[in-house]
Amino acid sequence: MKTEKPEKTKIAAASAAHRIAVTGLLAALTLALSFVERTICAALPLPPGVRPGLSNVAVMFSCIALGLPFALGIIVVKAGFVMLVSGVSAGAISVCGGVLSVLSVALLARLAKKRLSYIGISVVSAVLHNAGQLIAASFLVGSALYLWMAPVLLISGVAFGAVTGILLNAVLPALLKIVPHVNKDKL
Amino acid sequence: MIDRIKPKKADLILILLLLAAAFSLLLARGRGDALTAEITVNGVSENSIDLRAVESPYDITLQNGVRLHVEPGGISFAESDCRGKDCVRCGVLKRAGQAAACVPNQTLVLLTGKPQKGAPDAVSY
Repeated sequence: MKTEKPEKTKIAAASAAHRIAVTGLLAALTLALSFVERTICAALPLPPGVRPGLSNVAVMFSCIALGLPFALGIIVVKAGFVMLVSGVSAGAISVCGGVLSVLSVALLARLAKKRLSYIGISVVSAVLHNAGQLIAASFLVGSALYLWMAPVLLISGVAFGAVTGILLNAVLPALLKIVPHVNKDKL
Repeated sequence: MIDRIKPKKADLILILLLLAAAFSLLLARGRGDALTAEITVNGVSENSIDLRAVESPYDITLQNGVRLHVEPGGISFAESDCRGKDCVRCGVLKRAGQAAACVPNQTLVLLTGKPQKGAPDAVSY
């Protein structure tokens, strides 16, 4: 009993460094996925502005397994990347969508407990990602863009949110191997 | 082992609610018989074109340098000095309700089913 305490703090310290390292890995994965997605989507017959959001798989995992601050870190890195590639306004749109989406994942994981599966969480996250982007774009363009785009982005958010949720289910066992310290009750 | 892998009933209810919201928004938006392209820059209406009345294609250049291509029944971004070029990639807008925007240039093109601005309209709001 007495020897257990110091050992526990040792694991906690190790896992803090581990979490930061894993956050870096997941951030790289997020960038790679969004880049690949951008390239593929140029060839797909999707409505303008609609993208599957594959990188949300990595972001959602970081939010659930590591915690909200780590996920927000990834969002900032991704927005920085988008800013470098597509300009400042695109970066601002990315950060708005990302923050709203990650906050919704953190909130749902806490509030809905285990009543929602990853598919439901992912759908809400995708819809709010679109909403955040739309609000930012409306603000930047100076018009109520959301009135026109909302139905399309709601439907695509539900569809692709379900897809990324299923993907998260599929890759979760593999991802958990890189974060063995994670508290399984949280998942 | 992990509780959230299996889909739950709440997921389905949530998805259906969101889809219902989307379709009611689509219905609320309504459809008119006209096809009008409304061009706004930074929220200020710049131009309004009745696309049904266009007979041969032409280009218009806005003050911010954005070039739009107008053709019978359609409009598209032809050229913009922005970095992403998402506006040009949007392609030709042909149906009411479609929109394309060049965010860095604050330019928005919106297709509505409403008659051209200035034309008599029974409903005003």
